[in-house]
Amino acid sequence: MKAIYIYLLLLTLLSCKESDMIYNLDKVTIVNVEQNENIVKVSYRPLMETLFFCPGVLINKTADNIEISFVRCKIKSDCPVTLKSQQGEEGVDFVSIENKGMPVFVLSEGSKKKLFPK
Amino acid sequence: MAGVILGIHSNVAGDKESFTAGHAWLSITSSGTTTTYGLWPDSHPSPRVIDNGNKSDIRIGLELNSQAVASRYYKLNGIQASQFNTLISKNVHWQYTHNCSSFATDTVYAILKKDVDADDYFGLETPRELGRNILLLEAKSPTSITNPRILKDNPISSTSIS
Repeated sequence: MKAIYIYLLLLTLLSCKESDMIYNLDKVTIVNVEQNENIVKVSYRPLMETLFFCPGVLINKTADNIEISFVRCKIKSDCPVTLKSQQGEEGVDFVSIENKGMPVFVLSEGSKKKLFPK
Repeated sequence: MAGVILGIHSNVAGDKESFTAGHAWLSITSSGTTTTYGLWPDSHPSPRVIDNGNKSDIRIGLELNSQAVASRYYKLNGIQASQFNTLISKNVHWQYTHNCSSFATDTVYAILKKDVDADDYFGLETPRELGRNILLLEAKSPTSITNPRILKDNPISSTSIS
């Protein structure tokens, strides 16, 4: 009985709002943004979490710019991303986005920050 | 400061964080070199967390570049440092009921008899609660890696992690 109770409790606690599935800007450290020809390389360090990870980014291309969001995914889950994170050194991950020089913004709940151009 | 410094860290703190957010870990700094120790589940998909089967889930060095929002430091004597090495060499497994926060707080308690509380709802230990209590302790008596807490009685405990 106790095991069932704990299992139900954990299920409840582990079920997140959809807004929790995107990292807030204060949980991702942007290490470097580098434009090279048509590609912008965004290097970042997501918050280390025992029960979550960042598999990559969602990308929304508009007429004027490119908006990215860092996906927060439960371990043992499969979360859709537009671009998968690639592993760099010293805990830094990166994505390379074809932006053709267009401005790039990072989005999270209620906030938007320009990454490129600086 | 010379000697061995034990750090306990969390990268989240307080109720504004979700119950399952973040991570907690320990560090040892000796002769200017810092090594981190964290308990991670084998099932974690990060390529930095290697699934090592039945071997210990204590991973070394994963948090070196991680930014803690709450940290507290204690100076260890030789016996305590040796005890730490014994504890972290044990075969410890991650579970929801024995997670990164449990590992961090239990290890500090086993060595120093200092309760850096991490108990959240239903007695489950969480990084957010550990972080909150570290900040409370730091508000009363701040520590840093160059100014660690030195316990007067230097308690010695058994070598088990409860």
